[in-house]
Amino acid sequence: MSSTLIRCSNCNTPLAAHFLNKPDFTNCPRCRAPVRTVVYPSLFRHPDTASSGEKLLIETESSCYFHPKKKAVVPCGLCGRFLCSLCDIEFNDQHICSSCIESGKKKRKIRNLENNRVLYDSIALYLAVIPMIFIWPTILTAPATIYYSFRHWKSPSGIIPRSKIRFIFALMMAGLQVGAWSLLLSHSLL
Amino acid sequence: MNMNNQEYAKLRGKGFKRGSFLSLSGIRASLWLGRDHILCIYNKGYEEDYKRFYFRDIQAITTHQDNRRLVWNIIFGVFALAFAFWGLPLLMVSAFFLSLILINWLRGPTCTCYLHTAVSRENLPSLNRLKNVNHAITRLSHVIEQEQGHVSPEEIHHNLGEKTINNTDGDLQKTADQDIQKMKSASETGKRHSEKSYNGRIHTTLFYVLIMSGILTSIDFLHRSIPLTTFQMICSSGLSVLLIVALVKQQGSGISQWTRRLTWTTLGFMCVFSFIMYIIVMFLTFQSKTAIYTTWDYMRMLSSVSPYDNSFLLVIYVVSISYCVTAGIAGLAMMSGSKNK
Repeated sequence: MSSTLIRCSNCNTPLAAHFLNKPDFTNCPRCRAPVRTVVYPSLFRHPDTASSGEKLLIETESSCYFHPKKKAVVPCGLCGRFLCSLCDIEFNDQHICSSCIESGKKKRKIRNLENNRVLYDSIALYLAVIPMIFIWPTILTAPATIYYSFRHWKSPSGIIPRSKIRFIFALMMAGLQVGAWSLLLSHSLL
Repeated sequence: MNMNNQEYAKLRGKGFKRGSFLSLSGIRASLWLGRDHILCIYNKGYEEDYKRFYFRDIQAITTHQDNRRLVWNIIFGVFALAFAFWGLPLLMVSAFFLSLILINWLRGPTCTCYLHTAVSRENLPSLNRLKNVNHAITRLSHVIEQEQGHVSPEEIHHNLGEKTINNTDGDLQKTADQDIQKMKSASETGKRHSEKSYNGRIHTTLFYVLIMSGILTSIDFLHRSIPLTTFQMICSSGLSVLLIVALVKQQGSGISQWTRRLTWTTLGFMCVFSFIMYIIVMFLTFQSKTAIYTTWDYMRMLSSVSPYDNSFLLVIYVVSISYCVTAGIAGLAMMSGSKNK
């Protein structure tokens, strides 16, 4: 029998079984807030016990790269190193070692491990638009926007693909600003 | 690009991640459905943060309705009313706030949705409307059940330790009552645990300041002076800050229900009182014969007005003194009563 409890998200009161998986909202017995809870089988599933790896009994058998005294069971899908059951990480339907996971995350090779991306197109747009409030800074930010936009034109943006519309708009605004400053400066010099 | 677009399908709804009590973090949240996971995107404007929840790891989704829609409608309504009394140009602003009320109403009831895994409980800010939650749960349940399978009511009852499932109605009620008793004892334990984390000091200070504010207003009633008016304004500002902190602290704490209600009532009183005083001060400013250029002129004008000159102002003073003293004493009594328990 599992001691897992699902609690009301408003007052944290444990909810009895007859509150779960109802199609409509029911009032929490304590705070009376309308609550709806949907549970899935993994709530009652016990986690699999991790294997610490089999010891190497026969010398001619392959051993794990990270644990020479343990038997290799699978090669790493990325680097090819032999791995014992302790070192084997199942990820993205592949068997990967911890070093490849780490380098994949750092070098952004494994997409599902990315948890942050810089939005260069949004930064370019802010750089073009926000200084216009104060007018004078645009003499510096307009060329900076043009450089930044071309520099990061092909840089990866968000995980959900975006169009280049922000870059294009930023370039248009920066171009207009540069044109306006050029006219102003040439007029004042003449 | 098209293949990548098909990788994720957007779930309906947009929201802001709650970074503070006033939700001023400005981080936009959205939810996307992938092949084997849900992707939560938190957009800060210049960068995005991602959180993934794999279907095999999702244990439950809980939702509770809240009254945010009503609160925002009240705020918009107050602004709409306030601008409606100031003439035709500001009537357009009033109409704008009325349209916000209509849009808020049409979007449906608000709610808060959490996703449970074995190690975390994640708030899903984009699922803040009931319509979006129901739509999302339908789509998510379909894909999660494809991954994990379906759980029957019998399995739920068995795993959560129900005594029996094939009961008559009477026995079901008995079982439900036993559950409620267990929940009450569990919630009492929870109360004891959370009382340890918050000792009620802010609420006690709040009620003392409320009494002090009432006493100052009484003195101001009898004797008008600039230092007293200044001190009163400082006291009111301090009261507002304490009130907001108390409202934050009392969330999830062991403070009694009546104390919470009194704190919320005090907030309502402060809002109404501030609004009325704002109207009165504007009226007095326009009516004032002397020109007001500096804050000092403003303070002098305020301290020169006597409640005896105006019956409406007299009523406001009496109500304010009565509420501050009564609520302060009641609050202190409740706090000392709950401490003794």
